[in-house]
Amino acid sequence: MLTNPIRTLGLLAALGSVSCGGNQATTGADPYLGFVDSTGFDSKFVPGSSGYAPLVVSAAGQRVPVYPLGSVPAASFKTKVADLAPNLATVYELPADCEPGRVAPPAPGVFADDRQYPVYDRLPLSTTSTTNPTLPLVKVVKWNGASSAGCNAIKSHESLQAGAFSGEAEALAEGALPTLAFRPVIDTTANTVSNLTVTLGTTRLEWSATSPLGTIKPFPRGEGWFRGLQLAHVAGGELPVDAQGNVRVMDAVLVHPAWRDASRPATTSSMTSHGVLVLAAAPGTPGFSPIVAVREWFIPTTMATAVTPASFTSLCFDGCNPASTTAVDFSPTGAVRRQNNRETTPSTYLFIAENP
Amino acid sequence: MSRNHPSAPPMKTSNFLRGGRGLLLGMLAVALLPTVALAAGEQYGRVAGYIFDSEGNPLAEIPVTVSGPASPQPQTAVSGKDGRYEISTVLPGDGYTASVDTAGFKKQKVTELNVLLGSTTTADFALEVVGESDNSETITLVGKANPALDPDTARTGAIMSGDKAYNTPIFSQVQALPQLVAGVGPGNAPSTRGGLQRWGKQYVDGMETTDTTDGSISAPLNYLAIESAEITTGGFDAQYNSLGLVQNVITKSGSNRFTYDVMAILQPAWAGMGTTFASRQPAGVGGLLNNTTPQAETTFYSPFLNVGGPIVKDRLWFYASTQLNLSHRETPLDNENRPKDTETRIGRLKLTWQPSGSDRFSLALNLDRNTITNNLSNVNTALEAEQYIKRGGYFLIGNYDRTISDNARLELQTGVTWKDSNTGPMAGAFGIAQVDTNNSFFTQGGMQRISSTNEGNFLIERKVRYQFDPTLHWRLGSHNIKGGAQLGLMTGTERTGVYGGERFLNRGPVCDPTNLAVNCYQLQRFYNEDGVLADSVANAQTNDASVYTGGLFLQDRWNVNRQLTLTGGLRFDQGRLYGDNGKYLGRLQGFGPRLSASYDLLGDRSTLVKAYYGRSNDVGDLFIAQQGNPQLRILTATVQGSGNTPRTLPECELGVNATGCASAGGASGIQLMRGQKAPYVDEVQLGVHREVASGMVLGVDGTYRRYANLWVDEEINRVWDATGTRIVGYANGVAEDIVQQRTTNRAWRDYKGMDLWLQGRTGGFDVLASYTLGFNNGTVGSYFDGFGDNRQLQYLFEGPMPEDIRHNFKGSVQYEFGFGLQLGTRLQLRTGAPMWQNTAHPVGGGQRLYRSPRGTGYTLNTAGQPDVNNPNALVELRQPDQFILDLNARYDVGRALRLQEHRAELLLNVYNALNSQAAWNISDQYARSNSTFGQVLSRQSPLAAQLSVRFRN
Repeated sequence: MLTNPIRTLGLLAALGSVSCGGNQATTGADPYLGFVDSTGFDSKFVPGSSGYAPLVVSAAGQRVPVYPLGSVPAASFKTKVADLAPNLATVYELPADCEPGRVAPPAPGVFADDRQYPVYDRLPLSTTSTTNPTLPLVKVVKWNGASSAGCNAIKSHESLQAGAFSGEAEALAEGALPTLAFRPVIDTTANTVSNLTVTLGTTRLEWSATSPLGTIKPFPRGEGWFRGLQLAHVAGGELPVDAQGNVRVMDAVLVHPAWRDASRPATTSSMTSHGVLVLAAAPGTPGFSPIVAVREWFIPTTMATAVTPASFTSLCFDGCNPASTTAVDFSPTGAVRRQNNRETTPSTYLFIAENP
Repeated sequence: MSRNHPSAPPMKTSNFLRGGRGLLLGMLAVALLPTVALAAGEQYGRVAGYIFDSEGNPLAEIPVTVSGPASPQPQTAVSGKDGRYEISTVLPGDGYTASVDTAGFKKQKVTELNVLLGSTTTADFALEVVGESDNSETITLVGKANPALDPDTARTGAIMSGDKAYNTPIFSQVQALPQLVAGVGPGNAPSTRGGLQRWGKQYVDGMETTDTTDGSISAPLNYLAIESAEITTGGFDAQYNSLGLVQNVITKSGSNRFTYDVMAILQPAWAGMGTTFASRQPAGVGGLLNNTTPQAETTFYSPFLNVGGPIVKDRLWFYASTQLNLSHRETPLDNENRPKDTETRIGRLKLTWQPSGSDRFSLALNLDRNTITNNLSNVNTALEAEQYIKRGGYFLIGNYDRTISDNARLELQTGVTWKDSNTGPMAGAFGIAQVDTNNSFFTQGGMQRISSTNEGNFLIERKVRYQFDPTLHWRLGSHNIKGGAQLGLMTGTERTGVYGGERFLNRGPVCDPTNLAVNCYQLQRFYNEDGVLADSVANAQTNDASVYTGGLFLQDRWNVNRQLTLTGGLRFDQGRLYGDNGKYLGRLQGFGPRLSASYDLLGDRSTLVKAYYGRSNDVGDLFIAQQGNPQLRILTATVQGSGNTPRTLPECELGVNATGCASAGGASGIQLMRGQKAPYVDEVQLGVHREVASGMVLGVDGTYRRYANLWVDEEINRVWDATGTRIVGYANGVAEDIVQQRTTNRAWRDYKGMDLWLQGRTGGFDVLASYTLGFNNGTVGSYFDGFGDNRQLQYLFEGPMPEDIRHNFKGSVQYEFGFGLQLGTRLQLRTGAPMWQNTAHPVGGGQRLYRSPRGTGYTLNTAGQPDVNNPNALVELRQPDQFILDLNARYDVGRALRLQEHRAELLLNVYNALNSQAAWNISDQYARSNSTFGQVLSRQSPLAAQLSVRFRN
């Protein structure tokens, strides 16, 4: 009594086919894969153990908090848009008229279902390159004609480029420069206010939490996607560009306490004072830029010992008093720009986000 | 239409029905009592068939007699109008003969019938009219029917005789038998068809003896005392309520013949390969690669003594058995081989009394004691802090069978199981204990069996089950009906604490409490719910619980004709849960409809097509009820100060907020919610079973199971950020956790699988082999597994379950030569179970943080870390595939020595014959520093040989 092998195999195949299959449902949307892990980010974008710390700077006679997002040596930064753009992450801005409510987040509130977040093609990961350091800047490209599968259905530049949602990137007009924006990707999970010691190079800068300013708020935050992973970024806005095709840079002076001058011995009291960054323009005013060209200056020993870096609250550009203890002489002939009888160049480019 | 006593007066149907109504009313009355669902199991097999003439016309009123060596007395039944006869109280065994000797027809008998527990062995008779010259001739046919080809049920699984168990290398353990069967996972408390391990049901002589908290076997049995074991994996009759498997073990009863059975298992140290690594606790063995200690040894010795026979011939029989296990296993640690000694004593006595042909009583008492020393065998544990386990119990089972009439029979199974367990440090009570790395107290494993690897902890348990299960069988024409009630009470107590009441957590090496700067991190104190330091058994935290269970079932098996059998049934189960001081915690209940069909496709008993649908409900046990009680309270004081600052230990008080102080446990924070729907499983099954050789059946069964409404711990107070990694607030404004324990349909599992199996005996072969293709997905790995910790991250929990073994091939095959030699093998090849990469959640509290869907993880980047920002690195993670090959050989020396009815056997079992040391279990936990991700956690035990010497008659 032998069993027909063909029938047996056929039966096996039939039963096997109905036994197969997983549970994944296809909705037409890119899958949600969680959120970005910041631990591999360049150190500029990694929060401290308690979160992102504000930095107290001076500008226009006032002391204001900003969020520092790293610095690079001046030699590593190119101000020309044409030079910068090729090394920046591309962010695709997608049409706003997406169909709301069609793509449900995995849990309430995880992401919005009434607007489409932009899509990044790169994360600011750490790099050992000194010529092309990771920057908090991105190249913004508009994507036109995407057929919406629902708000936030598009979560990956790869599926976008592969044509899964149709449309195409908006082409640049001939001779036009790409649009750059200040959008540092940050740790989605971190706090934005905490007590941390902030340093720039080897100089310890003055930091603050709620005291003494009492006005610290989280920086303006935006959302985005990278390969199905949700990310957050500082919504710093578009970078202004001058007629020569350079991104606009704001001057600033890092005022060191006198004891930092290696030619002179430190005193116990002077060691307690921190360096202070004095900006050319206050946040929110014309002339402000998140890209800061930093020059350094030591308080002369001729000044009274009561004068500390925090005493200086503005930059003077013209007709300055070299002996002023409140305004740094930033005139073309002033001590900052003509140290050792020559025009100094910025030592560092610092990136800062406004405190709203 | 069976009768055990030929002289018993026939009882009219009307009388029976009147009595039946009374019984039914009685059962209905019982149903109104607070009542689960623990069914009485079957104790017999059946011999049934059809009698017809040479032209195929059914013949009524033809007596059929069945006799065999396993049955004390012959049994007779008479065929009905449709020609069908059925004898449903045949004790399982080999060598039965069914015979027909009636005037006008040639005598006929069918010999060599094999009767298995709970199964129908078919024997049909095509009678020939006696001719004038041949009226004395007897036609003898050899029974070909394989009970695995059972036309009366859609049940799947296997039935093994005691000898099959003996001939299979399974370490002499009854609880190891189910893993040989198709659709069952590995281990001694296996998952079945995508279910939880805890859902298994264990029966002895038809009475449930399942552990009241974890679903494992309650107590070990002397496996030479087993007559038969029925392992049912699906297609349950209405009398069973199980979301997993059912193992029903029928023990030997004794007969009019005196029997003895003496055996010794010998495994000296030289019979096994030395362990070159610790196979069980590698995380704790330290720098073993630099270990210069001798290789560890393993020895095992086990004598058995079983005797049975009549006390009063034809009326009263006994069967007594004893077994002693002495196991010595050394674990190689840094500087020593730590011995783990296990001693197990098992005793059993069963008395069977048959005062008349229609009544049978049996009473069985089972005793066991078990002690284990150095149970942790961990390098982090000092010898005096090593774990000692002393446990044991008994169960007492009473059975009463009464044949009420030709058409009705009553079975009553009742009894009690009792289990004590005492776990604590080897040195007994002692002062402050210390641990190195974690602050967990008792943890729950996959089966929710709580345990602790921390020294100083003690756990004292008592678990008791009472069971009362009457079942009535009756027959109306071609309808075989059975109904019954199953009433149970489970009650138990846990007492937990820490000797000395407090424990230091070290920061690195051992903390010096007199100088907090030296390696001291935290001091924990343990209190009972009254705020008294739980430093001794007298002050322990007590967790009392009880569960009343009740089940009612009714089933009709309708033999429509020779080819078609339909079975319909319905059961109702309810469990009522009580906590400390009798506090009512709620009830769980559910209906379980069953419907199945079996069709003899070709009408020649060679090919059966089967279909089944059924539902079972989990109406709770002590483990669930114990969740509703307060937990041990833990007060943690963290050492303050760092650098040059002097270290101080804050003075903490329970419930008082202070710097460096934290409280956990107690009555607050956990709520066992009332009004929950019972977890359940729906099962659909379709199969084709066909005899492919004489005595050998090939089957294909496709199964779909859906488990839903499973238990979860749901934290409801914390408000998470979008990523689920940061708490941004609390719903009630108070920084506390509030956990609701509930069932929810978001907690589910499903199983889609196909079994291809081969069972039977043909020629000299005895085969039980199968291949299973299975897909097991869902959202919860087990009850209270963390699914409800954090709703933001629940979307990651759907995926392959820990029991998702995609391909599973297993076989137990023996071949017997004609001169007393038998060779056998047991092999298993199974693909790896899913892993799920995880790390500690930043919020703590024991939560795990997953960054990818269940069953997946990220490949490691050049820094040795999972690159979770690269979805292209997302991969499916699986534990290694496993291959096991065991061999055995048995030779009956008695044949050579011409010992006649006595047998003297030598049995050699070789476990892991290839001496594979392959990795079995790999860590899926990563950390930024000191990550163990990818490290081997356990390996296959090395080759070991056991020689058994057995004398029996």
